[in-house]
Amino acid sequence: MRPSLPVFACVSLFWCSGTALAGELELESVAQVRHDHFGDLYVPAWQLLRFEQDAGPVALQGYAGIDWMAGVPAPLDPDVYQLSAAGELGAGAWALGRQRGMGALRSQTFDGVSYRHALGERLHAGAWVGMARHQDVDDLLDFATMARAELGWSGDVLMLRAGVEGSDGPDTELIARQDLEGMVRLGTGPRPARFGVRAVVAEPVVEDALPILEWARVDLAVRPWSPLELSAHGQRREAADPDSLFGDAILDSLAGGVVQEAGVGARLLGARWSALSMRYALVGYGDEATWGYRADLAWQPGRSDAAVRVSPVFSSRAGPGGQYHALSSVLRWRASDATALSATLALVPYQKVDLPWTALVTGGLQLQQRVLQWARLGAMVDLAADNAGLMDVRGGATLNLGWSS
Amino acid sequence: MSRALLVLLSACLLVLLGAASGLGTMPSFDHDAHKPANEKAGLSCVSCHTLGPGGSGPTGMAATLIVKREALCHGCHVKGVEPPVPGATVVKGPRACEACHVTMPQPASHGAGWKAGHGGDARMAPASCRDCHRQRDCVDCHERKESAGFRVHDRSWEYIHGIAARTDLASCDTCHLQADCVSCHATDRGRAP
Repeated sequence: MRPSLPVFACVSLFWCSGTALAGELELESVAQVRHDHFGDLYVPAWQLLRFEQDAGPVALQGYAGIDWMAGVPAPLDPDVYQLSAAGELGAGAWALGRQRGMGALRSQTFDGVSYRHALGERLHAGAWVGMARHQDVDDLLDFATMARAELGWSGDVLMLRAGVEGSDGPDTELIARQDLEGMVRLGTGPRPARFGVRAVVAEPVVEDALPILEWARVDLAVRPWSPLELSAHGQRREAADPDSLFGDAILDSLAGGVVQEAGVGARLLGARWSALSMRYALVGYGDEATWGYRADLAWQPGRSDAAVRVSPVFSSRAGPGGQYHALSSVLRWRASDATALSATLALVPYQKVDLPWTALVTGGLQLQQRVLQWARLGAMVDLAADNAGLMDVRGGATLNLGWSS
Repeated sequence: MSRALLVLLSACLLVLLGAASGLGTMPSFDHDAHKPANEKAGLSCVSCHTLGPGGSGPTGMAATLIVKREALCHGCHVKGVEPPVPGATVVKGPRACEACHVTMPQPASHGAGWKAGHGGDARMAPASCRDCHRQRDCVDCHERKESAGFRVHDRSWEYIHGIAARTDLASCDTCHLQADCVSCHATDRGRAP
């Protein structure tokens, strides 16, 4: 399919709306040439726009994009990820628009309005109401009306938030949730500690349905010695409505109705925000627990003005879907103020459930070149190869334009 | 052999601890570099410091501060942040975070467990985040689409994310909707089996 008139119309619309605004504006155009998983040539492109603008007491923000795929007879569907107006009114703060991730437990596209009122220096009350949108496997949309009210306390040592929210839609049953979140922060000196807890209880408003502890999580972290941080956590999650495709029912369809885990971690903190971090968690799936784990070891070089930075990561997972052990690294070389080159390499042995082990190697190069004060060009090439005969090479180009006033 | 390995691990640990020794040092505010801006903003010594004894050196000066350090910097260097000194004129300074933060330690609020718990911090006390961050900083990590600057998953992720999703799906829904699975696996758009 050739790029059609609507493609250019939509892109032009983004550009025109973007350039008409002062404040901060970023446009990103990306194009790739690659093969799909069936071996066919595949050329996707997308255009993103992001802006921030203060209009008197009102702060406007937007983030939107259009995807286009050559040869795919799909309608162009510009997607607005975020479009919001926000401001303050006396002791209150309001916002309206579109945002993701407003729910206590689920992330979803949400159009609505929120208001938060300071009842004192520490205490606040807040509420939001709007429409949540979700796309199911038939590409149809589920809608649900959602509302929430909460009360929160924000002190130097204790932070606490309790809320109640409900959702109801034509294809989803009415569910009410109560959630409680709290955090105790002990000390802000060289030996701080932190204890966090979160619980969400869902009550399906149907006959004979019992309340479900949807999510319970406990976190503990402490720095017994200045550069060393130790942590531990435990959590349990359960899908409230495993028959629905709305929200987190995907937890049930992919990973069992109940997921529970316990984990420990350690971070060795270096200068300039660098850190060596290790995490391990034992994960159980279902009421008759099938066990898996996740483990990570990573070096984060931190903020630095060094010309060369290397970020190695080892990551391992095992669970109902199989297991993998991934060793990867990114090398970033800032050749000059205008030019940066990065190289990635990953070696990943993995085994999907009921399939033999596969050894995967991926690597890539990416060049970023500032061509004007407000324009940056990028070019990338990467490949993936495995012992089963995979050889997938792809290339791409990026144009970033950014203005700030 | 095992002794050699032990020695090697100990050496690595010592190197890391050596690197860690810089933690906790706060560079002093460069008054000379900021003199023109301070004059333009109408700030004098007592705009930011008490007149009482605080001791010498950066620590001593910091002890006499009467405004919050982050707010003091961000009043000029971060868009949308009010100047911490009433009546001061806002003087626009360089906005790049790296202009200052390459040499600064993490703030106290980013102490133990912050990385795992910062979502809760943002929900419970969003105002404290706004001292340094804007909402776009959330979007940059949690919603940004694949691009040249993408920094979450590497290229191998395409082949192993199904294993990860079944192992630890809860970590996916921090950023993704169920529709993100659907758009590749149940339609022509993503061309994935």
